[in-house]
Amino acid sequence: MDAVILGSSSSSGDIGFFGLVLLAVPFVVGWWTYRSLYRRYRNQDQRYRYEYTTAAVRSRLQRWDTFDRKNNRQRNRDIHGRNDDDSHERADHATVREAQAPRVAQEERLAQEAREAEPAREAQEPRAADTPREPGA
Amino acid sequence: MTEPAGREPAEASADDSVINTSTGRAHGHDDCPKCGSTEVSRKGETLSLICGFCRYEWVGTRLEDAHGLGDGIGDLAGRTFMSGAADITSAETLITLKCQGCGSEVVVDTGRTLEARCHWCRSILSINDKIPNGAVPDGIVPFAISKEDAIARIGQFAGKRKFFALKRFRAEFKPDNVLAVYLPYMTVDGNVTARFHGKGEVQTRRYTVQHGKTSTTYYDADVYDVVREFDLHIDDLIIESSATRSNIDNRANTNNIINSLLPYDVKNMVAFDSNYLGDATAEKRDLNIDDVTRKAHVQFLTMAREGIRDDLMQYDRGVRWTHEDMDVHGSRWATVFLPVWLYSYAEKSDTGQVMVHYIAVNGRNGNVMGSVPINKARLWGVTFLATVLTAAVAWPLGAAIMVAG
Repeated sequence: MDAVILGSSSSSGDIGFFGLVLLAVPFVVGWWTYRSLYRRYRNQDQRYRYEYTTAAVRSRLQRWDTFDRKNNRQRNRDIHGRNDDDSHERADHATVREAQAPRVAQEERLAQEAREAEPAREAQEPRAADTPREPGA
Repeated sequence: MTEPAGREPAEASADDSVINTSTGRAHGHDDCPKCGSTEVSRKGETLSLICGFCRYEWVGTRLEDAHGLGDGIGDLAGRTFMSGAADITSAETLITLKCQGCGSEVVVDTGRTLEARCHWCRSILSINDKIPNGAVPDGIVPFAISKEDAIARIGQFAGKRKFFALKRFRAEFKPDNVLAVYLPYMTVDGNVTARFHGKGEVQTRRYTVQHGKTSTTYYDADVYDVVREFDLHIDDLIIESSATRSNIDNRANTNNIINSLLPYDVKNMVAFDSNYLGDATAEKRDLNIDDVTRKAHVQFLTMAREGIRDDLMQYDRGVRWTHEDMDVHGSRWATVFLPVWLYSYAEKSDTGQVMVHYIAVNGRNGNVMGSVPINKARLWGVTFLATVLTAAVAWPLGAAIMVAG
């Protein structure tokens, strides 16, 4: 949210600003009246709040918090692009991987005994060189 | 939620990923185990079934107890599902049952109901086991709210929304027309690991600078690289398994009303028995696990994001997540019928478009939600009146202040 606070040090400016606000108030009231009544009758914003009502247990939490840099003289109250306060807003890069095969199967594969290595080449019996063929034979 | 480790799913079938909830019973009579009468119904709002002939009572099996649902979520690996959530392999909804009482043939439309009364001998015939068209779920959560109670709640809801309601709706509104419906859903448990990466800021200073007549507030902050990784064990997330119901589009339908009735106490679901249906109709499931997996994963991700919020309090200027990663190690799916008292009203617009408005009651806890068609002329009129009345007060005042200033 933009939290830039604009104001005037002069009293005449304050009065002018307040007057403008009063001129705009009826339109704001009209918009609010329509919106709140429409919402009360149609309830279009109602939905399953699964993120709050579904039981979920968190465990094995690991944290990494590394200082990066200073970011001074910002005009906004919040970090640019803040999205931690809206869990429905997806990050720029979102990946979900699903394990199709049970992990047990993988573990079984990893648990197999290592295959015996082939004997080193050096340990092989040296092959006897073929007798050079006679030219023209 | 309990999380005992190492529990094996009960009754695992030959394929370990399927938990068999088949009853093995033939379709037809679903009769009293004591006297054989088919006049079986629910006893009041309890989970007990009672024979209307000999008054013998028995209780359905709680799936949570029978199959250890809710246990061992941390041990889930791969995709496990109960046999009622198996893929739909047939589009056939009409099933012909042979009455064991008189031998006549009775057709059941499984798209709407799973019981029919034999028109010759009056005995009740039921679909007693899973069928490949997805009509029979693993479990059912029976109604706990009576029809009278639902009518009263719907009447009260609409009564508070009369003034701006469409004139025809007010004239035609009859809450007695409420219907008992069992809607198809899936429940899914998830064993996931989430990893989030982003930037977080901690405010170090706040100050205001004067620029002539105006002033500006500035904030200094320290920026951190923030990473969080954790396991999350999700228990009984509920997802629509009807394509029509899961299409939530406020411009074209009011399905969000039905959606907002969730959650239900699915921990209390009992193994499906058509005797629980009573006079209620039932909607057939038409989505498979693959069709709703993506939605489930997005909701897992949202739950993980929500689940880590309390650990970010030190970042008073907030966090900007840039990367979300989730590994779904395992999931466990079941299908269930959930009870809804439904009142519907079709609003036909001037363009001929029809919008069906629902007022619905959660059949377990009585929560009511609805969409009432609006008399827009009246709403605009009141909006205009509110605007004019406010202007009558605010504008002279504003003008006077500006002139005085």
